[in-house]
Amino acid sequence: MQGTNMDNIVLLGFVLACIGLLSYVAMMYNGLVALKNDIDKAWANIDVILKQRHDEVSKLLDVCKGYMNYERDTLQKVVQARSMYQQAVTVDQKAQADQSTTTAVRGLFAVAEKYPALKANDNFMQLETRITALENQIADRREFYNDSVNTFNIRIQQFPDTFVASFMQVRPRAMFKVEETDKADLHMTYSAAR
Amino acid sequence: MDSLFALLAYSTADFWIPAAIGTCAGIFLFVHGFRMLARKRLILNTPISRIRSASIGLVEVNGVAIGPYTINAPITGLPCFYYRTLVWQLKQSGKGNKWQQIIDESLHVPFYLDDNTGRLLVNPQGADLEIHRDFHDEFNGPVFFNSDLVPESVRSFLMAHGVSSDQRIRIDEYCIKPKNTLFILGTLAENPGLTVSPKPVGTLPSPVASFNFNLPSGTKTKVELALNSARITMLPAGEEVFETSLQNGRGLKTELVRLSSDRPTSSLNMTQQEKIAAALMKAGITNPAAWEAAGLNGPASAVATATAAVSGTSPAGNGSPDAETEQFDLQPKTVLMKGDHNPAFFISWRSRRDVVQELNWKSALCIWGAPGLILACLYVLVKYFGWR
Repeated sequence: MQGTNMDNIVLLGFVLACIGLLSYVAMMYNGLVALKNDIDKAWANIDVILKQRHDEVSKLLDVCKGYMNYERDTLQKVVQARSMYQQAVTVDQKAQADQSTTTAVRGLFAVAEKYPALKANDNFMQLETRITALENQIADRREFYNDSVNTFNIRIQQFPDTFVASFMQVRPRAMFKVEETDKADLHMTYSAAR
Repeated sequence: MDSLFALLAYSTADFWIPAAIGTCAGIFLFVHGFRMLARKRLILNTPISRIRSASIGLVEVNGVAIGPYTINAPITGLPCFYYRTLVWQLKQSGKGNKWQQIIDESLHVPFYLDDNTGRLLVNPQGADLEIHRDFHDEFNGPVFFNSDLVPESVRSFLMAHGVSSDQRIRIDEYCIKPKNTLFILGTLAENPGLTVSPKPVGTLPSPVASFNFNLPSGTKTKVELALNSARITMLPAGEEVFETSLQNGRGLKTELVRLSSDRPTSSLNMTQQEKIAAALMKAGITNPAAWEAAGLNGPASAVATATAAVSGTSPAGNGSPDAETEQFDLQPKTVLMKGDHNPAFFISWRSRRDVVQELNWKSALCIWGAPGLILACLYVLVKYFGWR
């Protein structure tokens, strides 16, 4: 009788272990699904701010054109960056367009220092504040996106999640990286003011 | 192993009830262990957000607690945004004595979390709170039997709850005080109409279960059940909330809480100045010169300054309004609170790393230890009932 009891206890222990293992595997699977979707959400959230900045940059150009007629190169760079964003479809294209816009707008603000009348314009001041705030948000959300990707990549390569990841056929995702050319210092050129 | 089972078999007759309880406790711990493991993974999977760029949904934020209104904790008297006071009394139970919880009171006012990039309104209702204990003491124990040593604040608190101060009691008090560093995992959602006011609100514990359903009249009803309390929220018209709570078995406490602010909702009811201020705020104009030209005091007047209008509350700091009290948006667009779709809502005074470490070892202990407990207790039960 004791032997039968022992067998039952061992069987129950085995059943508990199976339940535990299945629960853990389900948890790993759900976690990886959530991580994958969180990366897409993080990128979409960057896109929202990029769109807002795109709209604000349009207004900025309208304000600046009236004062900076001779800074055609600088204004042209901003216009080109805006067009690049409008045509961008993939994540990489949008990342590239974002970097170009950031660089171009930074150059525009630097050149605007030479035009006191423009600097004192209320609309320009508001747009400058707003775009700066949006740039900070974009930078934060890029960091957040990279954190999400990093967490995902580590998780799918660690034991024991790597087994579930290979079953799900998930691959490491690429982080948002700044191009080498965009890391270079701004080369500013000034045209003579009227 | 044989001697262990022999010991268990010898004690079967006396321990079948504890064995049954142990079996249930083991099952609970096993499930609880996986819950803690799931929470740990959720915390690790969610990156920390900066408040200025936090997006709608599940977020993790770090910051310090600040706010325009505080309440005074009943025992320590400290100004705080949240307090929970627990009182146990030593009562006779069978052959011995047992500590029994007799009072569990918690109140809060909504507060803000500041991480130097922005501020976020936090509504701690329904959160799992892990807060620093500010007070722990025992009174009328065997050594200090003189009831005169019971502080006045303790005496008044007990009297307010109808408890005699000459019984042997133990008191704990937990508070979220201004400038406390907090780690919060919760849902950032659009403000459902919450207005920051000095009126304290009862804090119900994190519910064990909750149900949503719609009545035939279109009223949305939400029922949340916790261990010793229940909360029913009804939204008949979208602007008023009818709340009924049953806490500690002390009966129903009904409160009509208006979600909408006291400010006029229709422009027909606004004064001329209020209309101008609303138009300027809507246009995003915050230039002080523009406000002065419009004959207003400035954008700061569009948000209510903290005033202590309700007894028992005070502006952040002391009882009288402080000239340097920061301006707070009392009706922000977003609130960090318990989500409808994702119930995870956790507030801790410890860092993210410490929280994860604790969840790590606790979940491991429960997941690995609980099966052993279950098996041992079941063995005792099997021996007692003679099951084959």
